[in-house]
Amino acid sequence: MTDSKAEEAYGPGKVPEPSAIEAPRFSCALGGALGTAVGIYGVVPILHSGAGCGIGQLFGQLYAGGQNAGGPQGGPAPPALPWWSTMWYSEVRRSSGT
Amino acid sequence: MVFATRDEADSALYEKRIDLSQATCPNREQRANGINIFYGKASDLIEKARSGCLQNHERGFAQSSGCSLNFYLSVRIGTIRDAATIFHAPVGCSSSALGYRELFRGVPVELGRPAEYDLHWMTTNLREKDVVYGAGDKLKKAIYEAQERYNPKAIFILTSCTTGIIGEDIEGAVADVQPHIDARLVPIHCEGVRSRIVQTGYDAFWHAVLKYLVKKPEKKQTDLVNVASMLSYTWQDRLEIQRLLGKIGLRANLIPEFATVEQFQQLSEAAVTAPLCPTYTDYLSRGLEQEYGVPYFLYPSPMGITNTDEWLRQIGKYTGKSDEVEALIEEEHRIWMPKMQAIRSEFDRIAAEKGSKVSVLGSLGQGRLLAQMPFFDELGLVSPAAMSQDYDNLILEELEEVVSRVGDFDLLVNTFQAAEQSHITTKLDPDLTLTCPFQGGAYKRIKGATRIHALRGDPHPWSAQSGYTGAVAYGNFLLQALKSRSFQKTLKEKTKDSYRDWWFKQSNPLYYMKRVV
Repeated sequence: MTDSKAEEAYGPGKVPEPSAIEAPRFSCALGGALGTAVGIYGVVPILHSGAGCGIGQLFGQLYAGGQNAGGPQGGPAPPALPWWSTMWYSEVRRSSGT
Repeated sequence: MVFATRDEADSALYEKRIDLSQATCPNREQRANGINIFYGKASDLIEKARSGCLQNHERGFAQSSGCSLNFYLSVRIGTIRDAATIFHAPVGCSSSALGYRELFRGVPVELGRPAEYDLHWMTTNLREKDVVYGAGDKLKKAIYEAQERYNPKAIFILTSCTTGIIGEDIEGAVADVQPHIDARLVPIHCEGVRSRIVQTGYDAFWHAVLKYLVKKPEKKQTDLVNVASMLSYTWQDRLEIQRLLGKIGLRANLIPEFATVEQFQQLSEAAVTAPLCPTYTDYLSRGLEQEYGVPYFLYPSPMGITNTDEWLRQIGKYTGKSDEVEALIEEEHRIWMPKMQAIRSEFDRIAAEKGSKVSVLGSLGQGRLLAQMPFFDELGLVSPAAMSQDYDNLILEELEEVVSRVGDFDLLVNTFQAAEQSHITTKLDPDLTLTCPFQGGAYKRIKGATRIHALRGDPHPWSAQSGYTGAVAYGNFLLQALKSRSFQKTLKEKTKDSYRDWWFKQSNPLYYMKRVV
């Protein structure tokens, strides 16, 4: 692929390798662990993460399944959403062990 | 606090000016004292907000809610035509964008969904190394890559917690790259950790749109009405808005789903910015007026008959079509009022049978709270309480007006806290409870339960809520939900409650609130 615009900026032969991914059909490690946990009946995942990590994974993985989970805990449908201890900037600075 | 003028008092409640020289908007917490935890009388909330004593508190126990990126941005920005989106984030943050197929595929092409709607989005896939050494170069490369692959008119750059925490220089990268590419770069600061109020994400998006995309008006388009709406307004709501405005010779500039970049650029040329959800449109409306003199109104939303009448009248006022609007209202009333009255009389009949009005519990965003309470009143329903995702001073005056119109009510402010919602539903035991598609928790009951709204991708006419057809459709929907209970019965029989009995015996749904002093 000719990379003219990028070459213009970086100089010929100096364009770094592309590392972005287009529309990946997979998620991060947290997504996999959460997906597994909500699939097991009776398991309650506790997310130690930002506020949107739970709902983001549910949107991505479970929209098509009516947002259901295996048991009464997990998916955002009848039962409970994943339980989390949300982190905000203040916790990022203090480190959040609770 | 004592203020000399009303204006002075108002400006202490929230920041009215929009400062486009900044990289992004202020958080809703700073801009309008936003909170997401409160339980009590609406009048109490109003009093606290007026006196400046309203405070946000911590939750000792919380459930998944949303962040400024992943509450709504990720799944919607990608639908914008002839644009590309780059998530400057670890790979998991863009996961919810994958929901687009389930969200929009169900809309038939005949109803206006583009047949080809491959979404152009990429992620910079941040790794441990990038967190330590920075990933500015990775972002720049991704921008070039997006330009090469899609040749878009605009590239939206969405930030994440990670880039926020490492202090990534987004503005610097954008300034470096912009001269070399044709697409307009639109960096949106939606770092999840920046704010507890998911609505900050709306403001961040509009800030970027106002700053980078909207063009100076070349000519005014006197028949163009800007209408921005949340994902919770369905495809039929869009069609209803287009139908109503089309009848009086106006065009709706519907954003953001499936809008073209050009539609964003010409926001400044419109005759007026009208709300579907005021709290969502707020920042855009104020920005367009301040920068380009486009007038706006924020209330009411077109939900329920009276609200829709007033919404149309407001638009008529700004487009010089008051007479046409009056004729339209009369015509529409002739068609839809008999149907509304039939629904109303059925609710009245049920009420007479059981000896009290049918009670309904539900609400979602602040905007929906304001619009729905009067609509329920129109249907002859009472609301013992309402739930709102969050509260900020932007809606204070309108909340006061709602209280004066329908009386005082209990208000629970929380963002998708399923346990709290389940608690209040059990305690108040309304005839009908309305839950948001993702809030969970409150379904297992014998009495009526249904959803408070569908999502944009639902094209079925019975899911509509806006305008006249929406009022009738939703009235009917509520009536059906009240009468049909077999789903609830089965669910109650076959599955356990998610929470122990102990939880429901507590006096307060905010049992786990930790007061910040």
